Amino acid sequence: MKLGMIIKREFRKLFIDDRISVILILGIPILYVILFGILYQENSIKYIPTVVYDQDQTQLSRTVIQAFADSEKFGIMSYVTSQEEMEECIRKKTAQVSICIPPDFGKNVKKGLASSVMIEVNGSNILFANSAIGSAQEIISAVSAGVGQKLIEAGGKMPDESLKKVAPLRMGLRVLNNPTYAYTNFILAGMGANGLQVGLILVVGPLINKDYRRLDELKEVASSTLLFGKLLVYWLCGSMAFAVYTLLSIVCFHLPCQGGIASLLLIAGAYVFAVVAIAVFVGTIAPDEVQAAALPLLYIMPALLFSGYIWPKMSMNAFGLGFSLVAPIAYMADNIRDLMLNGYAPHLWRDSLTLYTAGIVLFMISSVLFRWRRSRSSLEQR
Amino acid sequence: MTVKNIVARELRVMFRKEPLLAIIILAIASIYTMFMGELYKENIVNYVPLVIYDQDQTEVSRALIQAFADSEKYQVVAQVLSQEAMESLMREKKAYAALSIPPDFSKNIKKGIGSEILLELNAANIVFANTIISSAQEIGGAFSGKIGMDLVESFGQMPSQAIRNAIPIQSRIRVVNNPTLNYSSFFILGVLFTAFQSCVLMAAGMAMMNEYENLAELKEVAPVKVVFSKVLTYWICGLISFFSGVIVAVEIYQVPFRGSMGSLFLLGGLFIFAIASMASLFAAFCRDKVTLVQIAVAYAVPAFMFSGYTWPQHAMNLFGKIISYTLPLTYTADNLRDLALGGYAPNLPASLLILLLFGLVMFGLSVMVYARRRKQSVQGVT
Repeated sequence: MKLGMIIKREFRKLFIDDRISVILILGIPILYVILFGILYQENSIKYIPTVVYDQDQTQLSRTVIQAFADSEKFGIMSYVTSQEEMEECIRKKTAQVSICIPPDFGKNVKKGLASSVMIEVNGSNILFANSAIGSAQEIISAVSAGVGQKLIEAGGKMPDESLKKVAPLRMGLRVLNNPTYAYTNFILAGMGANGLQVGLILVVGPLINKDYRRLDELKEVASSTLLFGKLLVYWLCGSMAFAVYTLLSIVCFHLPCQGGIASLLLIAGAYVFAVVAIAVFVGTIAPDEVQAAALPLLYIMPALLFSGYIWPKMSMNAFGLGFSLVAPIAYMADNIRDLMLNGYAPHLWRDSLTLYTAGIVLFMISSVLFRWRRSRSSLEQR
Repeated sequence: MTVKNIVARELRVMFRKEPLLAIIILAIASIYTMFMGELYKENIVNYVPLVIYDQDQTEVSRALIQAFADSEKYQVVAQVLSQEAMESLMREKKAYAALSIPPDFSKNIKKGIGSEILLELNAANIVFANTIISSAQEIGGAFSGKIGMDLVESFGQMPSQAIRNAIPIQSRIRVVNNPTLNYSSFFILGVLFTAFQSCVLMAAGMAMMNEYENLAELKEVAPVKVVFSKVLTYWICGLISFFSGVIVAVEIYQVPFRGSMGSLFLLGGLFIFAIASMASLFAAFCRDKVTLVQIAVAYAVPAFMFSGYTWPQHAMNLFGKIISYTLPLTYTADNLRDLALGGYAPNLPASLLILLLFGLVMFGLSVMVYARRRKQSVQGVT
């Protein structure tokens, strides 16, 4: 019954003596989810500040501008009357996009000479640029097709026929899993998972390390039993944190949840297990508590970025792939997003199994190291 | 004891007694920069796995497929013969985009009825979705224009005239500052600042905690001198670390830097001053060093996300904006990127002023708290 005793002791410590730890484990992921849920509530970037330089001032140029104004992607901030003013707006960042319509634009188009609209985009922040480029192209080709249709009509063809001639190919887009490109759907599940590992690693490592100073309290208990008892407790706490923040993101931030609870728990349980095993390992090897808390700094922030959750794995080089191979979040975040948005994650079983295996191996190494350090410190005491 | 003595004493502690401090403040920023540099070495997402379902199998449909295959954005992973096979590849994530060409595609186009292709994409990861949508529109648009030209030619127009009628308005896009939408230019500097911020917070905070743990030692020295020496030491070390991070980014990972050294120095210097002062105030309220480290690490991710560096402030709701305005990173990271990519940061003067004020307020508060605590502790002893 030693394991039971350890678990009871650990729970008492966690919930009564050292409440701040349990607050951190549960609180960090929840806080992250709340913060990021609020941050990305707008979901997509709209009304990108746009400046217009219309050198033509005809009905056609105004049609183009109106098309931009009608799109919720662009918010026209000002109309300028010189190239310099336009450049200045981009430079000063009062506008991220500028639309420049050349003189004789309307005349040239009517004459059948064609003309072009110049769109300038500030590419510093890729989020603005992607959003602006995609929708600008869409708007211009829609206007262009309309105008082209009229031009052919002028050649004596029927409107419908004309349109089919100038735009013979239409592209239907079917966007799966996240049809509105909602940013919250894209990022929230991963941010929660990241918060979960931050909380667990930061708290559990130092707590394990602390036990080196109280070794005489638990002399009769085997190292593996001791560590396993702890692991179980944090595993439970971590899984609880997962359940709470996931529920929160579904209820408060409308994250869709298509997947079954069993699949969610399968992958989350495996993930928490692996993360706790890492924390136990860090706690075992760190020289003192402060270092047990500071060491993971090198791991925590890159982990999410390297996980393939945002930047795809196929665009990483060998170093990136190597890093993502050892980060538990790389096996979890993508799966959890697939489960939430799609209801199905192709690598669910493979990744869960990998996480459990890695966790068990790491745990065994930790208990060997723990035993060794314990015996060494008791020798020193003698 | 003069400021010089305290700084020397501090450096001794850093390099002899607590090398962890030196590693944190001097090395981690560069290490992070290297991590990120490796991660985004590919710079853009290419070769998105694409599955093709060609129900037409004609010259025109093959020309369209060829257009996709020729683009480096796509890699055709499979050609399937049924809708189910296509869906299944998408579901298993063997492909992220699917191109479905309907039967009679070519016949309908030649008849002048027009036709529609279907592009299906997995938008769970927005980075993929952005790449796919913008390039597919481009490829589809170019292809449609070419066919449209052929069709209009069949009305008896000359080819050059036909293309002008088919595509009367073209869009020309000019992307300034980051023309290739290079991900490492976009991202690395921000991550550098974020990592760096945690390092300064931790190291300066721990150093100040050393004083709080031993208030009597410097009781002869004016409080303002003590805090100033601490901040100064970490300011100098931080500056070295910051510049080495920037050098790594610019020299090894080819992030452009077009701004002046003077602006970079001012921005880096005031940022470090603000953070080091904040850390020294922080130290007064942390229970122990472990807590300090935990807070510094947990602070990093939200601070980065709320700084407006990736998700623009423009798209935040009121709550997000308020948080964003309170973070020193907001006034730094975006300006650094503007300086690097555009050579000019419009908001720089205002941001520098805010950082200076922030730093001064934090510094003042920190001196006050330290003086009060010391007085209390000395009175307590006597």
